[in-house]
Amino acid sequence: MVEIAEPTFSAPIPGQSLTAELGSRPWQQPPQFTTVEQALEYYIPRLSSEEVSSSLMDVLEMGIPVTTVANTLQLSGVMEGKHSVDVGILVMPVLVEMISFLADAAGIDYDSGTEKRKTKINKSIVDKALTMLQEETEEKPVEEIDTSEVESVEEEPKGLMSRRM
Amino acid sequence: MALVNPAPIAYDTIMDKIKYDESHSSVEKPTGNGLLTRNSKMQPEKSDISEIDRVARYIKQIKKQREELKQNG
Repeated sequence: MVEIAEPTFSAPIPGQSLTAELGSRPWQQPPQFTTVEQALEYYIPRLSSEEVSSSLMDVLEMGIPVTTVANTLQLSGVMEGKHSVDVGILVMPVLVEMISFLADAAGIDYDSGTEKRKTKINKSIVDKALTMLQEETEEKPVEEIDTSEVESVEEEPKGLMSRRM
Repeated sequence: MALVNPAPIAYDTIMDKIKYDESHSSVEKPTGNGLLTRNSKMQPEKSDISEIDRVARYIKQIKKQREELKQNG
């Protein structure tokens, strides 16, 4: 499932990120974990701990997809300066699988968020498209080209050696 | 419009890679017979494997455990 952003009007103004001093944010510092293994060593024990897993299961039971939870986890890791965005993207599928495993173990019915939704075609849109097509075909009838009236125009010779008429 | 959650795409990409690797794993590379040829049985070092391959390996491992969990109940 791919989530598409809706237009928001509470976004930061352009250049707002440049108002803080460079290096003052955790993500502007060198990351704490530079490899996938280091990042997983940070995440997996946290996910497996009772405190986190119980709240995680509550979130999944509420119907929030696993992919959204995994993305939020890795994004918070980036914001805290734990790892880079690249490592976060690489770690994300493992987090999805790990959270699914924990949910299976807990026996929870959850939304993985990876299944492709069957796109339902709205009937009204089909009807609208058909009427528009019909209107277009009625407005523009196919013009018949009368080839008999086309006169053949002889081109005058333009070269230096051409004979004058 | 901006893409909010890249997790499904990243997950699908890794799953496609795992499927591709499984379907192409039976093909063996031709090996030389000389003394200086590398032994194909030797396992590649950890540093030789790309990050995406390592991620795929971890996912396979967790998937295996999930299947075992489902079978055992």
